[in-house]
Amino acid sequence: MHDDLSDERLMLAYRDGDTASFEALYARYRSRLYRHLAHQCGDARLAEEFYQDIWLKVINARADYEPLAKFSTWLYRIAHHRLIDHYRQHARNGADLFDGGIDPDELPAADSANPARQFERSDLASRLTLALEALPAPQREAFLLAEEGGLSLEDIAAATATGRETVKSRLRYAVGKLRHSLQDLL
Amino acid sequence: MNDTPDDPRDPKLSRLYRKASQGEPPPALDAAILAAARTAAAPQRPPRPWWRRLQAPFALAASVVLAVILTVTMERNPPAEFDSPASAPGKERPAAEQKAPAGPDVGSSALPASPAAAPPERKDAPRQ
Repeated sequence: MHDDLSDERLMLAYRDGDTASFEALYARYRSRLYRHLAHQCGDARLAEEFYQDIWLKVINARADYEPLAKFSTWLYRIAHHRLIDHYRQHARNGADLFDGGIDPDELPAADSANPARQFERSDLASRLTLALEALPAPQREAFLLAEEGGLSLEDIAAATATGRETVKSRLRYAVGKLRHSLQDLL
Repeated sequence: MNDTPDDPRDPKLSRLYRKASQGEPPPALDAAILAAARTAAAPQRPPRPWWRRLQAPFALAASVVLAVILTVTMERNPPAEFDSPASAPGKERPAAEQKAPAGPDVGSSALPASPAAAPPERKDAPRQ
């Protein structure tokens, strides 16, 4: 019954008290949002904490929900803000990357990209995780929103409050680096 | 969603990502979030009106005030029967007592009942 309804219709139905609509909506996004967060912060415990916070924000905002944007864009915007809050609290430099204070493409690769760690994590999932960890946070976010979230460039720009061209540039850098890191698997 | 020609997504990389990406939220986390969603959507009981909420405190306060008023009233105006049980039968009694000493008409019908009228009669009696 709920399969035919759009995300926005489901959220509106939940706003009006239909919990089955929320369950359908949750089922659509649970894996995608969780993987986005797990890859983005690289820590399962943190990812679970963010995941819960984000869904609780959705639940608490239901009374005022209006479909002004796609539900997916709205959901990932909440996720973006949660991650920024975390970076602001725990790693000042991480927030600067998103604020545009530092050019993330000029940064060196993360420490996890060194060959010794690569050797330890040789399976496909670990290789992917490692390659994602090596990306600067804004590029990783753009790539994950594109691949895991399925968002268009415009939607990524709306979710991260950046310009479309900036998103395109970040995504191009991310794709180039990942292709280079995973070229033997492509 | 490679929807525009300038979208830099790579289909091969996308396939590899979908193949390699893993991870699911723990069932306990799912259950907690769905429970929170159900709780938030549950119809809220309408709040009781203010006069219903203050009903018990008002009743208690009124009882205390009433008890204090009664206590003070009893202390300041004790009931007559508590002073002297003998004077209880008639309230006109003090008025009658006031009349007796001042009464010059000795032949009134009230005199025989009064103990104060007895001595003059004894004066006229012959002494032995």
